Amino acid sequence: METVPTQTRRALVTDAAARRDTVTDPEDTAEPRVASAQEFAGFYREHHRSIARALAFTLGDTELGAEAADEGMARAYTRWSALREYDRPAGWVYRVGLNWARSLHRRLARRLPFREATEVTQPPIADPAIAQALRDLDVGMRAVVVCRLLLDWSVEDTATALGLKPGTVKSRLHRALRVLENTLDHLR
Amino acid sequence: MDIENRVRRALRQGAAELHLSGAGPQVARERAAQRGRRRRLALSGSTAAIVLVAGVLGVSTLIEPRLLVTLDSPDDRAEEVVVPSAGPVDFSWRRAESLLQWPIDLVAAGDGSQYALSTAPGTRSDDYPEGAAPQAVYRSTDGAGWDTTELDADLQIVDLAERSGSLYALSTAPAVNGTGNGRFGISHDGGETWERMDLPSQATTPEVEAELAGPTVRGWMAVSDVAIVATVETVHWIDRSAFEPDAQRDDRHWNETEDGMALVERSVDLDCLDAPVPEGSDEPEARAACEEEEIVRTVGWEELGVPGREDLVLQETFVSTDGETWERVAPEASVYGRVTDLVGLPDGFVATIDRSEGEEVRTEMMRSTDGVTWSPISEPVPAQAGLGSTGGQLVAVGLVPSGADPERLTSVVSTSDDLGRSWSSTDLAEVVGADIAADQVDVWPDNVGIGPLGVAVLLSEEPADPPPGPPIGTVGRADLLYSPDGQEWSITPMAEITGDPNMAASWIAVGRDTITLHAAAITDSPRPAEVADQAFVGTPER
Repeated sequence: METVPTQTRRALVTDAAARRDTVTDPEDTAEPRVASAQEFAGFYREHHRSIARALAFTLGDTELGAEAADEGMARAYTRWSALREYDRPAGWVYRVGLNWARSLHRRLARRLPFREATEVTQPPIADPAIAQALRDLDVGMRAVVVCRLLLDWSVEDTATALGLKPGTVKSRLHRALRVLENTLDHLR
Repeated sequence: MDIENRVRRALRQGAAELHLSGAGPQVARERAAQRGRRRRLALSGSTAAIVLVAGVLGVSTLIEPRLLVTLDSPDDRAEEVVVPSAGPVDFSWRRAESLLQWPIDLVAAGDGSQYALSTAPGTRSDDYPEGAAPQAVYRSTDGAGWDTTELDADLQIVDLAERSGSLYALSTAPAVNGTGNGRFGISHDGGETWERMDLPSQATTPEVEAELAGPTVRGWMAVSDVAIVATVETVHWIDRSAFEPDAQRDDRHWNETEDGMALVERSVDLDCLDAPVPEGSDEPEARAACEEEEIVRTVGWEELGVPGREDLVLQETFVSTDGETWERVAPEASVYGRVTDLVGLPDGFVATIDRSEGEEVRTEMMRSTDGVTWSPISEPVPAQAGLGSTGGQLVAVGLVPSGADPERLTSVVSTSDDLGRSWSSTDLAEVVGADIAADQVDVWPDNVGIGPLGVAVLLSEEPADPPPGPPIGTVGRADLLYSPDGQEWSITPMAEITGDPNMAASWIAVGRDTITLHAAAITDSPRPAEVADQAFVGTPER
């Protein structure tokens, strides 16, 4: 899927906001609100599960991944009027959830290291070697692996979701796979 | 099979086994509504005493990560506007755009300037998931514009203090000599250059049979007229990935307990999750009821090859009179337990400690005149929202069950002139005239600043049962309360200071001569990055 350039996306966002702001008839505001809520509900049902799974594997923590997905969806709801114009709002939710979880993780670790240490539920990966190798990757590389290989997002969509350049996505995935390969060789 | 396909297959097989159905779009909307209230404390139902579940204070200070942008102060700041308050002190307020979005620490210096510790300009802590984001010291003489000094990477300061023109910094980086944790720095030129020394830490990896992960190191520091105290906590924990990996499944996880480790199995009734929530029921509660946790096995510390949990935690206290020569305080006499706050006053120090008792965590307070010998404060006061010094007075701000309705919460400011031996407490709900019982509201201390000028609290009233739907673009009633001594209070509606009812403060700094509020607008759409947050600097009218 071709990614809409950033400038064009901003224009779409601005246009959407402008259209909303110029609506003056109260009757007209009621319809879009209902339609928007239904649209969000549809988006939620279509994407929540895959985003939650992706975050669980990226973070290496099932419960934190689920919480992060919920947080991303909550934030998406408050911005839905603009977000619905994005060509991949799921990418936005994934990134927001990931940033939230990483920030939460650091703040809790800073104040309460016991809490960080005691509450990790690792997502299931039947191949223990792969599971170990993935855990050894840093979060940035794991995010690219999950977006490309689990979610099947294109390089461009992954780049947009993670706020990276497409070239960075390619090189990061390549490096991640090489690291995984080396780790698996070591584990054999 | 090549590595790419092998990883793809492993992830997809795992995903198929991962049941994460989500609570539904309605819950997302309600969560958005709760986020609109910024800070929340999730207290347990106990009303008998101040019992904090471990992690509460951490949760209460979690703030949405924001891009740290420091802009130059514009020369054409808005004129000062006197905003009358209900109370003895009016402030004149002026707006500035200079900004420090998320300071790690704020320090009011004796010469009237303020110091802040944060990430370096243009950097985000989000981009450094393993920590060690570049740091900077920011200095302001007027509470609005900030001069910046970027710090060397080895400092990694966790706490900052000032005394007689010198800055003191505590770092939890490993000591240069390769052993122990904790370094100290002194700057005599506002953070431009630093002298560094290692603290005499005796932290080492515990000699136990179990495989360990960590350590995680935390530290606090405070300064009195005669001493500097630094506490450093070094924590190791059992490496769960190495501990009985066969026992781990997606529905099971290990928890550390007082006695060792417990294998907890979580079961989810999918039919229950898919079922519609009865009308009138609380959806998150109904969904939570679909899950159960059960301890299926326990393993004692002895079996793990660890004598006890305390062997994994090392709390050290260090004292110095000049910042250069340090003494390690004997553990049995030092401030023991997990320090959650530490404040220095002219005549000594006060610390808040979390102490575990089984599954409960109790907060206590301790005092010391010299930083070496500590004794418990027999009647601690709530200090979840802030503990500080106005220079001569100890101030604590916290939450307690309301006397009018124990099911509701109110904010309390407590002050002491004798290192916590005696306290004078004020219920802020009474100050603002909130009728907690009749209106069924909680009164929250959303932001607290304590400094030489006094104490400032941004207080909000939150309904016990918020209406459904997100409060986009709206903020609950919010007042800035100020008192020089915790006795007489002046109240100013936040909207009258900012001129915008949709702005919420993210931090407050109280200096010697001014109060600074850092506020941001709450909107329902992405705010362009070039729209900066606002700083409002208040000067008391004399």
